[in-house]
Amino acid sequence: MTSMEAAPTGSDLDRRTFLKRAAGTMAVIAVNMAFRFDAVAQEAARGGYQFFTREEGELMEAIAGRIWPADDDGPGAIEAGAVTYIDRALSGPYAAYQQAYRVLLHDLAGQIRRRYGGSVRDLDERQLDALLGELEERADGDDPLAGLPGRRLELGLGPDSSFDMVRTHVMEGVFCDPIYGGNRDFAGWRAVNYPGAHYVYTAEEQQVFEPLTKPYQSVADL
Amino acid sequence: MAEHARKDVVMIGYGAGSGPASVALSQAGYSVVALERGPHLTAQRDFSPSQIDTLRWVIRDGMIPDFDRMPLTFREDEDDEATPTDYLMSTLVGGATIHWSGQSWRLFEDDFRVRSTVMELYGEERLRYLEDDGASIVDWPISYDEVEPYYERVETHVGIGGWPGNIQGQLRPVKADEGNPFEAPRQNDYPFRPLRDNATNLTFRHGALQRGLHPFHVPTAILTRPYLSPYGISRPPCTYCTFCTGHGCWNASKSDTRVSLLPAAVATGNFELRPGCHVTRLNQENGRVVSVEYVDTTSGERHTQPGDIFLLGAYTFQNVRLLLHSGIDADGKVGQHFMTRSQPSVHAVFDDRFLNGYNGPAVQRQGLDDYNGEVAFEQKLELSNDDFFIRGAFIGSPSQRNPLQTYNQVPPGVPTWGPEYKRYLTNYLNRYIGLQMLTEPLPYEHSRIDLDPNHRDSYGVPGARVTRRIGENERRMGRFIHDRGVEILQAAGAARIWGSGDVQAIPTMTHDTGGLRMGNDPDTSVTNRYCQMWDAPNVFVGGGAVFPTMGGKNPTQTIWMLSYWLADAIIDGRADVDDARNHG
Repeated sequence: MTSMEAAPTGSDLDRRTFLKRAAGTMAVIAVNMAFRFDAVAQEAARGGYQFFTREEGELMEAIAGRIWPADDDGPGAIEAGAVTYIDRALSGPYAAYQQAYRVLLHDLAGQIRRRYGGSVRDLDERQLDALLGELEERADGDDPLAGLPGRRLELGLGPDSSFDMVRTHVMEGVFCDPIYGGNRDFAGWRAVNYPGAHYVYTAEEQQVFEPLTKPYQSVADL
Repeated sequence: MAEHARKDVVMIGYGAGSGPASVALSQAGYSVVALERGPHLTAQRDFSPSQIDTLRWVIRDGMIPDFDRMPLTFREDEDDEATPTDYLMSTLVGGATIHWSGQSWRLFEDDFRVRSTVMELYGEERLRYLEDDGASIVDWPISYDEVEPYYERVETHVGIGGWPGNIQGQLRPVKADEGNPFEAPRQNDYPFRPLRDNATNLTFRHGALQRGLHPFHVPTAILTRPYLSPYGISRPPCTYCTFCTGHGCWNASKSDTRVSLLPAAVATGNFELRPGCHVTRLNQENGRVVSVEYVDTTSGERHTQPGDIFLLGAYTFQNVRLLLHSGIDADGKVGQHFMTRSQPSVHAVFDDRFLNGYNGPAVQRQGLDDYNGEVAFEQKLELSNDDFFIRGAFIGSPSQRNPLQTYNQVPPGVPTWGPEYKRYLTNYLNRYIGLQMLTEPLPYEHSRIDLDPNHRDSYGVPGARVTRRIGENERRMGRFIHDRGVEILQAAGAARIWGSGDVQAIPTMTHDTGGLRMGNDPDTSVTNRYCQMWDAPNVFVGGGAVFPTMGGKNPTQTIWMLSYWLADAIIDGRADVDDARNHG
């Protein structure tokens, strides 16, 4: 097992260093949690989603925030707009998965109500992680995805499971080009120091064994 | 139904199998039409700047037909019902060469005589397990020496660069530590050099040298200097943008059938490209194919195109199903001996360095052939009977490791979501290397393509059904090659290595070959040495379906080479289009 010490990556460094020095890890997590629920409230309040209802949007954001969480290394999937990405995709190229999301989110909301007597807003991280962990472990027959219509699902060419579908789409929302609504302010690319859309790499840039500094760019900037 | 004017040559599909022949035949005065079911996308109009987008082209498969346009199913056993599987080859003018990586080379000399080679080296007794498994290894009906000039024509005319490893028997004649010393002897040097090295390549190279192996930068069908081809086509060099495999090239630097060959065919005035035409049937009269039927995919109208000579230039699965659907099965031989690439996996991360693997096209790559073909035969002679195998693999170090294509590469024990996952990717994504291991699968009697009775495409043609299972040779080779990959990365200083020697039977959409085997005997092959069908002498096959064995190398240069080869045979009369048995 190799070291898991955080390595500074790119232009996120200054902010992270500042946060670490200023507040310490626990305080930063608290800040990020607070930020997360602000984001939820704001997104829902301005009716930001085209497909997800307010309740679905909150649940999706909570899930996305646990798959790729905000931490002392920087923002997570919520801040990156991963749910906005999924929402737009479901209104377009991923329309075939609309029902899968609707059924899954209804199922999860029901579980939360029965087990905790409230909505996703009342859950802490541990409870959310348990819920996701159970979804990941669900057997085929219990998966809300099983038996849904949709050409690719019917053919067995869709995602392996609901969890697989959600995780894949969240990570697409983190690492896609910002033109798709995710990776907002390059939050996903900054986390891994990936400069994005560039036409050219020089020999000097290619032959270093250190992190490369290159401006973050979208295909829209080309 | 619209009926078109007769053409001398009708090509079905415009990709690597038909491109070279389209130039050679139209230059020789034949009237040629190519019916391509996909669209005609161009560098400036369609790929710039949209190419610079991994989600659109790679993740969402921007050029790939959906299941209802190209149904493909798979089963391991004759008794199973086949289930749908993903088809991942693009459908457009230029075919898969538009989105290929551009790793391009010649097969070994002994790739053309696999059966003879292994019998000579190992003897019948040691090879008995292959027979028990139903392996159908044979020699090709052509030799490397015969086709060497055709390989060279591909390198100069299509545009492929490399370091020579063997010019007329002289090893590494240009640069002492570069070029593949195990390559088949070439008469002349490459027309230009391959891509430069990056951090990923140099790291792999270091490990390989530590192991005493012979790494080299792979030959690349990507220009590294402004290049004027003998066809008078001028193209600019690569900018190393990295949006390469899975993408069309915005800069026309990646050599493909569309940018390297199509303009030369068009310039003759004898060539017509008809995109958006999906061929559904070959029509026969008196045992001879006389026309094809196709659907205009825009209008839905049905058309007939008569011709004298027909070239099947679509992908392996299409060529086979079109023949079978048209009632041409060569006594059951059409579809047999199908092969597909099945690769073991080796991944690693480094603590002492960043590789920034996202930068550079995928084929910016060092690799080695020390374990390919029978190069390592002495080592194999030492193996126990349970580990012994024939053939081998190219091992290389691909680039183009951007986040969307790499976020699933985590070692066992690291979760795939949550805080620990994020910390892992944040620290290690740019310290990651994953090897390519082009293990050579063998052909088998039981491995084949036929028509799926349960799935038809939107135009009513049955889909392709693959029946295939892994043989003992593939299992042993997978384990061996995996272990060699691990050794190289250990020697390179990797902090953590993971992967598997297991290989899968399912079509990988990488190098799907065989099914219309070429040979000298009409009783055991579908085409003769000029890719001409024994039972339908005015039908030629362009593409990897004619390969009797596959080689541990990417097949495209050989497909291009055979397209020139069969065209020359038509032009100079070695192939008699009235009688496939009467050939020179």
